[in-house]
Amino acid sequence: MTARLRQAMAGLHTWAGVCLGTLLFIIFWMGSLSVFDREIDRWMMPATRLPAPAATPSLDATVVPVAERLAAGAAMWTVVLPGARVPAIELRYTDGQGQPVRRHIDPASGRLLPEAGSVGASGFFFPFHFRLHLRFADLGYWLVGAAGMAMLVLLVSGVIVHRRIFSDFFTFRPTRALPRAVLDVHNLSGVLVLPFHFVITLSGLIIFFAIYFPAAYQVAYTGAAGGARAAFDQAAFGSWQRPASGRPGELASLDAMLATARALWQGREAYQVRVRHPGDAAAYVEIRRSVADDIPMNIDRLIFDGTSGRLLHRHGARPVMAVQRFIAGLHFIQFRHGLLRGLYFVAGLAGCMMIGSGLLFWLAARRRRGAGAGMRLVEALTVGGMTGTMIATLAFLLANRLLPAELAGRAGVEMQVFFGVWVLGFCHAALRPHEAWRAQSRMIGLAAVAAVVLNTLTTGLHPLAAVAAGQWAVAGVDGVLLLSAGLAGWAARHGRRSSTAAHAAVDGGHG
Amino acid sequence: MAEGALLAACLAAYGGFGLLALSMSRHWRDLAGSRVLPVGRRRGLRWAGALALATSIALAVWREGAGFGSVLGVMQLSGAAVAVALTLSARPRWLCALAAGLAGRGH
Repeated sequence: MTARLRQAMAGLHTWAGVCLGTLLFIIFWMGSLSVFDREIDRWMMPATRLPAPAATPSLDATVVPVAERLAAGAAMWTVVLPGARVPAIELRYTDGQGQPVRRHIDPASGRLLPEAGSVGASGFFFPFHFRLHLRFADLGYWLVGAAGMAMLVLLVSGVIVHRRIFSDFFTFRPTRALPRAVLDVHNLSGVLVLPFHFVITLSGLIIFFAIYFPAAYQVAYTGAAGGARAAFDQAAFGSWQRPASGRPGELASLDAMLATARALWQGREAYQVRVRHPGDAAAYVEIRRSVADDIPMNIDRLIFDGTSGRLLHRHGARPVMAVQRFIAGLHFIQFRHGLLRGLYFVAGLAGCMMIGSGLLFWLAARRRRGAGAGMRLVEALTVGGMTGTMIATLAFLLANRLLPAELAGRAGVEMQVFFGVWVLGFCHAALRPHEAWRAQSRMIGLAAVAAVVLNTLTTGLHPLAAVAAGQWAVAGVDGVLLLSAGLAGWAARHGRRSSTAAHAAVDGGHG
Repeated sequence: MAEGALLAACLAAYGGFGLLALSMSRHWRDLAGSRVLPVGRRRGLRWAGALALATSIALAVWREGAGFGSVLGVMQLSGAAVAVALTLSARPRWLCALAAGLAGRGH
């Protein structure tokens, strides 16, 4: 490897990192949270903290009457069957104003649970992870895609730039001066967890190949009736449709369709039932197979005639899609494997640590040469993007516990709280660069403890009671909150030492 | 038995990276106290370390199947490598015992 290549890669690594580091941190942070999105949902939606369902409930008895009442007039409604991570039945539909609605039903009693008043982690952190809540012109998808491509460039150039990748493999010297110690953290979290970083980034891009690389299907399906995308979706994902007839029709037994599905799938369970054109004579029912058993995220689906219950269409992934679904499964981890889920969470946070320490290293090294406007901007973006994002996340949880249940548009207010606090975090970081890191770390500690206390006060379930009640999702979220409070407190104390040292060095340089 | 296999896989990964760390002159000097690491010893440590890592993956695949096992095995390797790095930095004595045992047998 020549010195020139290394130098060129160093420039690339620095520029890509400084420009997109904050965005990458946010994507990794939201992705890490999404690993446990269903568990955070339970924390945020106390009514759904039910015991794990004992048996598959009867959809005809529990769901259909509720769906026909609530989703009357909707073009479709969807039932997500209860499982280990979501103990309640989920009913999804679009209301008269075109807004998506998610309601929960107790599978044991068939009781409709009160409105959650929250989109939860699965409705906020998860979409944040892949489209940043920017729906206009797919802008969010493209920003995330650009950041993902940059991440691959950063990983490869980082390996090339690293002078002693093998001799420094295990090197961690936290007692050294700030830039050196931070660089050790950057190298450790980057090199040792590299397989995860690489696979998770590449698979993330492959999941959305139809957006990022539309030529892949456009070439193959040029001139197809109904457009290339529709033809591709039909061939690859088995999407099946027919128009409504306009004549009323009675829905056949969903339980019978589920039994047929189970038999066709050799006893494997379904996880989702979707009724299209409910109440119409041309209604049809789409049943999807559970993705909890295996790494590949299967796209096995069955289409039944809504009124007769007859099987109309059966779809399974063909070879090329099977590869794509394996890669998607590696990324989505919807399978039942607690240990791997935990490891993904920790590895995702290691990614956050790698990105954050990279930015901090650049700042620490740069500060020695004096602070310019560019450096101040990166500093504000780094602190606001890291600690500010964490505070906004905690503010979202706090708002969830503090807002009154009867507040109109409660779920929207929760999200506005996130964005409001986020903006404040960036402003604070820009206006008070010398103390923002320490102050925001302290804020994270306080907010995390407050979230646990508020959960105890509003739901009566303190962490130990949650363990005793077998509410592992709630106990886990509380536990991680307390752990992060401890870490934030440590960082606030430790950060004081290093940032004063660094700023003293700057002041000394100016003096 | 099942958890035992996974625990053994974790320990094999940790031990494997510990041996590989010892095979590097810098860490050997810090831990074993003796100045030079003989070439034969270095080669032995590397082979033993690599074998332990392979065993770790094999145990994970045997216990969890090819799909889950290979993913778990790789994630486990990352975790074990970080653990060894933190051990070397915070509690090097834990690996000292291993080093001393090996050094003792060599003399």
